[in-house]
Amino acid sequence: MSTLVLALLSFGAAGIGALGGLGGAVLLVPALVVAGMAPVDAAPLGLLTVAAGSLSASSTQLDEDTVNHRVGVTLEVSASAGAAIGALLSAVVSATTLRWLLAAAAVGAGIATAARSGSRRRASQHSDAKPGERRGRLAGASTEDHGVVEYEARHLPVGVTASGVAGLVAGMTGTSGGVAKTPIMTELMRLPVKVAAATTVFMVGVTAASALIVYAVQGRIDLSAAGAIVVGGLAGGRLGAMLQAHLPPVLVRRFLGTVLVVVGVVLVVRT
Amino acid sequence: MARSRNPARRRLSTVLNGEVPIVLVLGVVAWLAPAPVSRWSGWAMVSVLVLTPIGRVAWLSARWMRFDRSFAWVGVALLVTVGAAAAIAVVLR
Repeated sequence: MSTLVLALLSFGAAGIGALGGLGGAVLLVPALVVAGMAPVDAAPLGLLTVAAGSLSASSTQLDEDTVNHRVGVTLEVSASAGAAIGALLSAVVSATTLRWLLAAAAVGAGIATAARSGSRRRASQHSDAKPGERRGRLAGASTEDHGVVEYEARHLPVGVTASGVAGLVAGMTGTSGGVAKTPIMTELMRLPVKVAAATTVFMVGVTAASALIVYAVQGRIDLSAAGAIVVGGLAGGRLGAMLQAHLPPVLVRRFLGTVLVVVGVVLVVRT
Repeated sequence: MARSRNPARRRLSTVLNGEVPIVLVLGVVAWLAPAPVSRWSGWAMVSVLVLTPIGRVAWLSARWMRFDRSFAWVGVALLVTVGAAAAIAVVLR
């Protein structure tokens, strides 16, 4: 596959992914595999777009004071361990298994994206507290659409376990796992949506880095392809984020969800 | 956009924002330049993308060590996890 095609695929995947509030990797990696690339070669390229997307979006999240680093670091212990194990396992499991896993990740992400209403559970405790995270606790305050709300993370063991599984899938398939991490934080740990989304952006960068170290040490990254993928991903992600404000979010999410399900089904059929 | 009231977060934001064009340039060179320049640029790009989030965790842990030790040790545990993964990958290479 030529590097120009890779750059265009990455541009399109990141652009469409950003429109729906996702990273591009969950669409890019299945698309690369459908186009003929081996899953084990596509995974590190997907992780590079995840790392680049996380870096690109991080400054905005920091400026808005929405990211909770304590929650992110705590959940990342298991997520990074899972990602590294996943990257190591990807070298020994069969291509067919990876395709099935990738298809499941794409279909799962598609259903989750299409079903997302955009108005998930809200924290109910309004306050005048200063937005930001709290020392010594997995807690903080966040400026949501309806005012400042205080929050405290709940069900930590479940969150840590689920993050580990999300990290394992991310490390094996090269997708970010972000589509699972945000719902883990909002639905299981009861964090506000903005905090969960911003913390996910921080977390997926660490997850990708943990898996990429394994891929890099084992010499499994095609550097020329990596350059094309990252350039296309950064440009597409920026364009998608700019267009996002001008398109109806529910329609975009349903479109993206449908595309992901179709890509997953095509993967299964080809397998 | 309003910037964070926390000076440490503002500094971190500035650093991360400055790295994006660097990664973009390294990516273009890795893609289009002839070898061995493309190879070195590719490694530099991958290094920036890998070391930035890990460096961020190290920076957070060092800061928390002064006033929030329990979370500083969680950060250290995360760094140890990543280091162990790298060591295992080297052994299994």
